[in-house]
Amino acid sequence: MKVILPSNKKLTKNLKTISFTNPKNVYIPLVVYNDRDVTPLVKKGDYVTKNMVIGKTKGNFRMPIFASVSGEVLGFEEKLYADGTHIKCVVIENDFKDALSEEDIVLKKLNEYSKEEFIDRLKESGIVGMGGSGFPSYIKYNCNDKIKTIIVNAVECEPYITADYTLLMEEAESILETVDALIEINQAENAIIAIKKGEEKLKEVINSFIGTYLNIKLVEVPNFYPMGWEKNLVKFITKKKYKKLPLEIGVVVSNVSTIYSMYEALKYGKPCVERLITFTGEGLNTPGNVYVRNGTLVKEVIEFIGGYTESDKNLIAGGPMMGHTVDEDLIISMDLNCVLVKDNEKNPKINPCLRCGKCEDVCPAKLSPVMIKDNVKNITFVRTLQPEKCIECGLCSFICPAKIPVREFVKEAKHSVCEVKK
Amino acid sequence: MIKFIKEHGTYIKSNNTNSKIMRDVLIALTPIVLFAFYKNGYIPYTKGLISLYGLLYPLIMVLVAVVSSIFFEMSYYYVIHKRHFKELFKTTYSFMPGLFLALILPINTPLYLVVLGSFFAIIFGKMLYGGFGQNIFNPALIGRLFLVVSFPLVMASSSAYFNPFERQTYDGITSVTPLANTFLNQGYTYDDVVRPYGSMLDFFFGNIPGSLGEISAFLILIGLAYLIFRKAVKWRIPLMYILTSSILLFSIAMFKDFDLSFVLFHLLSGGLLFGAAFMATDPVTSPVNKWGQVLYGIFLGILTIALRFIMKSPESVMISILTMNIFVYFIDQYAIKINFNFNKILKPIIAIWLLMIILPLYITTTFNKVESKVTIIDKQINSNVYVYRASARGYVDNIVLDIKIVEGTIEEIIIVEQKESFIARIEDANYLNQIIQNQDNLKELDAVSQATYTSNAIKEIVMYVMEDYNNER
Repeated sequence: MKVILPSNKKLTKNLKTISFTNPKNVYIPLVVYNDRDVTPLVKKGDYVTKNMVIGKTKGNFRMPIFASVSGEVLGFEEKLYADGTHIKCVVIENDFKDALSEEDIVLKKLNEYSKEEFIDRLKESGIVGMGGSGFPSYIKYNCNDKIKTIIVNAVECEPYITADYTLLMEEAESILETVDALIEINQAENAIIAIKKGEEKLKEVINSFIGTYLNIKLVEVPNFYPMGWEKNLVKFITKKKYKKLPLEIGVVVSNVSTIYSMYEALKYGKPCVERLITFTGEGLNTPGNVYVRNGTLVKEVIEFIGGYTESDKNLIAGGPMMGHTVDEDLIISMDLNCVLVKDNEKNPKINPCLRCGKCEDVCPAKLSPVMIKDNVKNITFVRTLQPEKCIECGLCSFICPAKIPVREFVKEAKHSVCEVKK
Repeated sequence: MIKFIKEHGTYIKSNNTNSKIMRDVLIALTPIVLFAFYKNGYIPYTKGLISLYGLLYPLIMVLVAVVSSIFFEMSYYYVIHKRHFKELFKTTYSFMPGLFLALILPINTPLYLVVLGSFFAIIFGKMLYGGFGQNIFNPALIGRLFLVVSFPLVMASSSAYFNPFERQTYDGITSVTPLANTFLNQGYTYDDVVRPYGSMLDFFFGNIPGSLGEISAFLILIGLAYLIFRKAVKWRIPLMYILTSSILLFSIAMFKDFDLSFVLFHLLSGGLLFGAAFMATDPVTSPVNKWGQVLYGIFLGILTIALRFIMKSPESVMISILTMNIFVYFIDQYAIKINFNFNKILKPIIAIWLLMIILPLYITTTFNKVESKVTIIDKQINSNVYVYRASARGYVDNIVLDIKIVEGTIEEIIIVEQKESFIARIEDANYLNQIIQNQDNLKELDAVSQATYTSNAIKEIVMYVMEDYNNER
């Protein structure tokens, strides 16, 4: 069963973007993807310049972490990360100078980079999947298999979020330029920009720039959730299925924001320290899309753009479907695409399960959430139900007529099954 | 000071609720209840056949069933769990088993049986398993099963199924329901099975005797369509159930050269449609997996047809749903594997194919007409007056005739014993006189329409006796 969610995007759609680039302090989270084992390269009292590398992950990816402002390192502190957990951060006091260190970065025209240079640039600029995964992008492109098609994911299927939409509206020209360069660098055959059906304005804007790029096509995808999920998107566009990675069928998928940060990295040598985030929800006085720096306190941003309405809130890091409730301690990270502030409503009472099977009907991973929920304590059996396939899209919790938070049960099963495997 | 409250789950929710689903089911059932009132209350009342109480009886039955089922459930909660009525009433839907029970009971079920049935439905069908959402068997069917087993005479008599108006119209039909009628049948003809109750349209619109809510296929299908439209039902189950049954019935009809009304008749009787649309789809006691639902529906169809024709059981729908309820857990466990690996569907498909081929073949052999054997019980010879007493199998049971032959001519035929359903038609047609008048040319005498089997049996007896008489002379 296909599910169309209430979009709620009107709140921030077609508003001018705001910039908030002068936070008092920044708290740079020491994490890339799921790797929290980071070597800090600075200590308390050091002076750091903007875009300076202040840490490096120890794991397989060896990703750098950057200072997003210039100033003195005040030390280390734990703050709330987008996934709802606490994380060690480097605290930098902003001196509002945005002083840059003198480094020699060889800049070229976008399409003159060789593949090796391109991969290096992605890695050195710390570019990660900005649609929510936070996965290092250079890994995706650094492969021996041939890349045939590059898909630019601008579907943004979760309600409320308009960051990708706005970015594409404003920066269509540079994004198309980057995509064209990506085709050339990776010797791909073509690229596809996937947007949602019915976005006429966006279509118009892209079409006005796309004329010269013969290898880039605009594809409209239906307004289902989770259409933006890689597997669904690739299947819809190429009509092919893959097992683990889309590369198996010669496809690479990147989010619009990721493409834009690639543009900045390739063209200007800027690392990935700034992004556009949707601040939205009924709980905010003036919702909008805001350019913010990595490590900015969400509290500061919200104060800057106009503050909260009165009454108790749910502050959600991420969209309404996949996000987590957090509090004002939340910091901006590069894989966060939305901060949603909703007035706290009394949760509907949880009723007994009716076994209507709707959760299974809607599950995009073809799981049986209700059976997983029933057997969550029985690990040997729940394993056969493959909860590790869950993408945590939240449709099961959304659709449930008994208002059971089904997804949380599946997540629990997923974690216990994954732990047993380890 | 603004508080930030942490919660799990998604932060938008669909507007689905359990109550909405239940409300849709109630809306789908409303026309069915109203029709039961119209047919069994209003019509006999306007004909002056029943009192005001009789007029309201269908509604009273529903009301008693609903109230008693709420009462039993709430008492159970109060006595066993010390939980109070108020917190439970809105969430456990305690009226549902009672409502369904009333709809699958014969229209004249005495109220004390309704109460008893709903007691069993609630306590043994629902609460002992842990209450709403935990029960394995469909509670309403448990209630009915109890009544059918414990009070077979009340539950299977024509007085339970016929309303006063029908008792007048179908004068001469002694069998209970159209379906119960055909089991006695050796074969199928439209004339014998459908015609006595009117036409196929009467079956479709529900103008036949039967349980309170099961008879109007038209309203049941409308209710089902509404539920599917509202996404409040596991639609794969009724679809596959009806489809499988139709295919099986169709094959039987093909093998036996019955006309297609055979398929329609069996679909429209015995509560099959109501069972498929409302009983088999009870969300709690049916599979959650979509492939599970498909398999469940198919097996229900196979089981129903098998029970109906092999066990000759008019309760085949109820028994097959209760039986399949047992397997729901296993079906779910198997069917989830089909989600992950589609090849897993092969085994059940092969099993189903085999069953679908073997079953109709087997059933057609059970249809073989038993050779009607005429036996001469007694022969009294008084000079040239012969009085034979002979019997043969009729439509329902043996028919015993006394035949008086004087000098080679049949003078008198008396029916000594019979239990035939349509004997009135024989009398109306003056068939015995017809036989006497045409005794020289009996072979070409037509049978009485709508009483073919009875009249043929009578004819056979007479012909056999004549042969015996001629041999002796």
